[in-house]
Amino acid sequence: MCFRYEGPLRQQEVFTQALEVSPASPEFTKLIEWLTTKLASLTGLDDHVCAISDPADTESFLMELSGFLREYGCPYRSLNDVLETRLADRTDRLHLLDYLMTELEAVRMNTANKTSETPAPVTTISPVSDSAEDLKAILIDLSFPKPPEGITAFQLFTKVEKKVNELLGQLPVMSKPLLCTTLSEEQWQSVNFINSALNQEYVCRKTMVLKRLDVTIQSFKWSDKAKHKADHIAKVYQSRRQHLSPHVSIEIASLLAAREDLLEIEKTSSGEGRAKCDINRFKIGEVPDRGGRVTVLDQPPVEMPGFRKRQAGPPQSAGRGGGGRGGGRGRGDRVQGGWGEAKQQFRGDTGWSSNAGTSHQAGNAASGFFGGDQQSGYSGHGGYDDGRPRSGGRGGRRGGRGGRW
Amino acid sequence: MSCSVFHWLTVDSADFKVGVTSLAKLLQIPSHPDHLLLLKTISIVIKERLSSGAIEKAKVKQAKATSQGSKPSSVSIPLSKVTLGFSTDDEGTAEAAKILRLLHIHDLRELQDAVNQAIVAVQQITANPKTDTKLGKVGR
Repeated sequence: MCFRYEGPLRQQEVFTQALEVSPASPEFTKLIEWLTTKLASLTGLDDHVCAISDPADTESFLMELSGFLREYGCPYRSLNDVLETRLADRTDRLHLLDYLMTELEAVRMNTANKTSETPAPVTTISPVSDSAEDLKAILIDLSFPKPPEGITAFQLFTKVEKKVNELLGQLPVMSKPLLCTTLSEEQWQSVNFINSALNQEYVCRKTMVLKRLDVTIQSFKWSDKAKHKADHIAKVYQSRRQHLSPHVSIEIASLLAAREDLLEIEKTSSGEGRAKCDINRFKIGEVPDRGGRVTVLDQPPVEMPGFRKRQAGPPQSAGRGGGGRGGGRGRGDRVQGGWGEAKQQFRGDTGWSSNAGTSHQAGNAASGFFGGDQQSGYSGHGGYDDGRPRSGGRGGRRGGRGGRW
Repeated sequence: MSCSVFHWLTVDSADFKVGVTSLAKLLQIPSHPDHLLLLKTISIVIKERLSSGAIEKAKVKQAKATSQGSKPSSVSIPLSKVTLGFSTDDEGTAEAAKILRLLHIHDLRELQDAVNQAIVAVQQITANPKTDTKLGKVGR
């Protein structure tokens, strides 16, 4: 790959000149072409900007440039609408060059870094050498001595089976396998796919858990007490932290090896899951009594007097005086009045319901709900809206609230 | 075998396959077409169940279960009640996926336990519980 720009713009004067007339300058557009082609090839973008030879084609050059910048994700507003500004400003042109060159620089560094890294470590290990490791692990776990060189597969497996049989006898209970169905080849394929997705997911979760742990420990170091003990903390923490990694080692073999005891969920609030700590036993000293016992709770203040049946109906043409007298009635009534005349059956007296239709009465009666003479001002309100049966009720409701507060 | 330990063994030989299959049967391992995968499974089962440490653990657990009787420290949820969290093409895959999910959850739980222990270990050093009880007031 050619890393250097070899065009004529490397000469100072030519460059200055081109910069003056660009984007009409073919040389300038060639430079842009070079930059965008390199960028596109490194980032996998499809399009790049083509240079022009005739200043008349400026329009198409600007179109392509605008498209490229949009696709590349250029964050600068001044460069994003090159179609409008037409790079008329010298600063804009320099800005464009600066942007493309620094981007190219950064992308090249990134690619250089990537290629020097070893390819992704997630790739599965080749099954053959893996099997030898498995076999070795089996023999070690069964505490076999190193087998003699040249032992046949048959001899080896016979020995292993004998030992396994013996150990199975020692085991109090062998949990049953979890997977009961026999899966087909395609099913195993999709299970494999699912597992790789789950792996990704849980690597992400574990990474986050570990990040949070690191941050938490960092925050502990802020305390005055910790400042003198930084070394001690580092020692204690690092010895534990180094065993923790976000790597997930669950594979199909783990699935086949899963037994029914996997279904058991241990409590995390006690037992082995609970990390015990001296601080759990720290007790706060005596504090003033703050009350709050339900057994000694005061009776709440009566908010609304209970419903009482009306003693006598209001006089038919009582006017305000009627309202005053009405004050003796319970609040249950008031609420009914407030919410509309339709529920007349709740009012314990027929005289009232027959009056309800006339708004004056409604207003007056409403005033009565508020608690009598003091509130009679409100009754005026109620009566105000002559000829609208509901408004009397509404006025009554408002008044009622005033009375309550 | 490419590894130097068992370089003389050929994993594709009939003897090897038969050996793996019969061992898998002995350990009640579900069937799988790939016998090398089965070998790996065998190694996991033996490590988790039949290594000397694992047998000791199982005995302790058994003893606990019989002595405590009615008060188990864990609950068991049938696989059918386990929620998968996504949908699969068929029942068999779903069952396998559920087990995988459980395995991952266990793995994450182990990490979380280790994290909790690490935090507690550091807190042993840094914790400084102080309460100024004089600041407590009743009412305003």
